[in-house]
Amino acid sequence: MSKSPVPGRNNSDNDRRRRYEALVDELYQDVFRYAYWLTRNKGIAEDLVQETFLRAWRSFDSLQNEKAAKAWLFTILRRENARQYERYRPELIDIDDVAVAEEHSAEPDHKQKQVELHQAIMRLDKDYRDPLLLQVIGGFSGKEIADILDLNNNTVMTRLFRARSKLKNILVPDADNEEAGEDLTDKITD
Amino acid sequence: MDDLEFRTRAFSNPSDQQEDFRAAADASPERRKLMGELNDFEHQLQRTLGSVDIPAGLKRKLTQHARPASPLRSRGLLAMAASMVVATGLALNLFLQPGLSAQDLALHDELVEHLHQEAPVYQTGYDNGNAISWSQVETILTASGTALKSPEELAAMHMIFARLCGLAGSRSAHLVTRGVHGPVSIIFIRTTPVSRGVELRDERFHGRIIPVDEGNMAVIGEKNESLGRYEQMLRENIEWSI
Repeated sequence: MSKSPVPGRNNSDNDRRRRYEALVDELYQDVFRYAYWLTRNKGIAEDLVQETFLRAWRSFDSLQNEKAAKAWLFTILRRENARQYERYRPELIDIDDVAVAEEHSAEPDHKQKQVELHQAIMRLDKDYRDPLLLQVIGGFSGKEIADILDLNNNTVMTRLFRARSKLKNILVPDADNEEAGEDLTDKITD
Repeated sequence: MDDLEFRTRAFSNPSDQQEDFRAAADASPERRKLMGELNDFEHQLQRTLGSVDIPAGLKRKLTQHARPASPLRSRGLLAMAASMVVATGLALNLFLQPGLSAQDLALHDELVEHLHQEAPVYQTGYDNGNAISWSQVETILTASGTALKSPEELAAMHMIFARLCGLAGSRSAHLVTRGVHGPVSIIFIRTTPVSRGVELRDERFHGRIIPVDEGNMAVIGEKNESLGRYEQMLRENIEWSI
């Protein structure tokens, strides 16, 4: 009896599709959050995420290690943003456009603080915001952030230090927040 | 670890679990207080960065292109296609191409219909030996957000038609050049790339929709027209802009 190649191919296609769908299921929310904070525009973020996953699907076979999938997706997204949107858009910051999801349980004070923090993140310089987003939303280590941003690890850790100092200063003005970090890059480890 | 180093590491990564950092964090009441503040702040930060509404239906959109058409949808599309055959000459074996998404199929159908609508116009130009200038072609390319890195080869061809057409909701450039067996359409469509090359199935035309970077290119001619050289020439040559 001759063997048809079709069942094997179908199994392989099904397996590929199943693995891709599992990837979407696990990561799409974080990828969208990152896209939103990166672009600060929900419409562009949604387009960007769709484009990112479409490209991921088309080159899914090149993903050898699924543990690296998140960094892979974030890198695709950053590249697409730079290629398609960043160079066509001036750096617009609409600090009134606070798209924080409504938290029904939030008390007024807490909500106000969240809005202030949202606006402070929006105002943060891109050099500081980028590594912070990758660390907090992506959960990446300093080394991984350094790889994604093509920076050295000490620069990343210094920028993270300054990002938090600046945000904390905006929210709770405190002169001694930023006294460190200037010349300490050699002391920072990942 | 001195205070300056401790403070720098605490701000860089309050969740640092390295042993030397955890020991340093517990070394004095001042450091414990600072870590308490930073952990509260980190919690606020995580909450704020995480508080972004995820668009409804996004997950479905992201997995759609990986799904083959369902049997129900295929049957629906087949029935719809059958009713279009008379008008458009659309062949049903399109649906034998596996792995095409609903968007791919919709673009294919729209393109075939468009070709049949435009064909009488550019066929007349072909039959009469008309020619248009390269500047007319460039105007259409620019308006559609398309540019060619090395346009010389295409500019050297006998162009007979250039029009801005609405395809897949975008302003697309439809160019026609003189082929060996008839007119050859070259169409640039700035829309989501198809999942993979889509073979055109039609009684009159043949050709392919090819994904290129951020958009699609279609090269379509009459049966027996050789289209490979056009595809090869254009594929690496397209630049999209907004």
